[in-house]
Amino acid sequence: MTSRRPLSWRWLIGLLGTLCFLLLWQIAAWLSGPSFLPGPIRVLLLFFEQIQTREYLVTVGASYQRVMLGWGLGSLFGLVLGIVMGRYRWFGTIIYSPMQFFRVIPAVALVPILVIWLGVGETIKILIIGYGVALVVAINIAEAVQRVAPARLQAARSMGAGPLRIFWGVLIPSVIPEALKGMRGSLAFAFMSIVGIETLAAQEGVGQMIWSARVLHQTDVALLGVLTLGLMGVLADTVVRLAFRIFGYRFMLRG
Amino acid sequence: MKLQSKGMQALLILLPFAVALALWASMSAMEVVPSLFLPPPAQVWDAFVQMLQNGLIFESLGVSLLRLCAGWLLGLLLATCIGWALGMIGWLRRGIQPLLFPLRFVEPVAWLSMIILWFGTGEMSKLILLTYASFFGSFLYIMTGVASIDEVKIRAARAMGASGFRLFRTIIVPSTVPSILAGARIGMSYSFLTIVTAEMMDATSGVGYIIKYGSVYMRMDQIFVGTILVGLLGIAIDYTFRQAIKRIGRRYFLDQL
Repeated sequence: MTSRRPLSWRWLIGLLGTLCFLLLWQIAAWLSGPSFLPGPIRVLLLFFEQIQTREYLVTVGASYQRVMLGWGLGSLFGLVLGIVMGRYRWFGTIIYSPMQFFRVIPAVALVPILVIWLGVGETIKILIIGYGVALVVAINIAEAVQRVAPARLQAARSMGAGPLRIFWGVLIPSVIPEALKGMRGSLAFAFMSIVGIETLAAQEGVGQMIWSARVLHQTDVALLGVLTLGLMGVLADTVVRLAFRIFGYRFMLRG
Repeated sequence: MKLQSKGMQALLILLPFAVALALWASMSAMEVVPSLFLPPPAQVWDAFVQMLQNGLIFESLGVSLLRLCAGWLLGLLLATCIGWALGMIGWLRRGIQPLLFPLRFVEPVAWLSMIILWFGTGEMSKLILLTYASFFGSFLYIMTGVASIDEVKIRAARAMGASGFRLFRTIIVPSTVPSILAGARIGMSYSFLTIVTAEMMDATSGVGYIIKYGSVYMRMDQIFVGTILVGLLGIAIDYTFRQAIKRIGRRYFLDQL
């Protein structure tokens, strides 16, 4: 409603809100005692202390690797599957209902089966994260492909392009804006099963860190873990947004 | 993807499942993989019938559904009230926006550790966790919906003398029904994901627990029953929502959902 206000003013309000929240949190922490609710100062100090240790970096690195690999491979697979689904209607119709079925099953529910089949390796974690992302991206892309103007396809065909040329030269560039938007949206989705997966089948990772803090009554470690997840997400989103803006410029992508 | 007849459509929907079932049955009949890894369909069916007879299935479904609905409703109610309030108050909304953004990347189940430390492992913590999950899914949606109401509408109502509760009832509520419905659906999908995960991580009852129990005792047939049950429950919930949105949403032209 108020897009006319200068950007710096909005920043200021955001900053003010954050400061208010931190203040309230600190007061609540003082009132309840640090073992029940650790205050922001304590969590921040713990963060700066932990970030210098190798253990914390390995933990974060392990989770990051799972999420990003799962997201990247999942969206790549989803992109290809979505284009094929949108291009060949019969294939899309056949595969659509099983996909809907698997979309409503939380990926975490598949962990026990996959652990017995494939063992407790990195593969199943990436597979589970990637699978959720792939389904979401594929359905999005299939719809985007069907919206590609038929005139474009007919023009390419009449100029003698084969199916492979049409795929690379027409379909991919036409759906890239949609694909990039969908990929960025599914980044948050890729983070949505990491804690479940890591508590059910992992030795290290942020999810494992949060979950084992419960046994030792370390509320500050659990909070640090939650904070870490949030920061990881924001960082990944920023990098992805910048990369997409540079790459997507050619395809007239805005935002 | 429009097809000519309903029968053809049903056939196409069922075909992949039939193919998968046939593949599964023939694979275990030819013993390509040991039955410890892939139990034959008959064994899974037997496990299902047995669990149906000793009441485990109905009990688990009941417990999970009760948790799910209670948490979802409470979270949606909170999200709607706070979403209405914050949607109207611009400065407050912008003040909390930077706090909400990182939360988008934090799985609701991540809070379970804290919640257990604060409230123990009982039903109370599950209710709180699910309320949060539902709130988390729907709040931002509802708030954005309120904030994006056409200002001309509000000004017109004001000019015609509506204010306070009247303005709220005649303009704000009907304009946000679509975003509340959409938010309710997203909230439900987050709640469902969260309850299944939480029951697998830390519970002694519910649908997720069937899977967990099976995996602790290496009972592949039970894991299969649990996983299929979760899938069917998910489909039932999704179907209910589609129908409800179709019924209620027609008035508020929601065909795009």
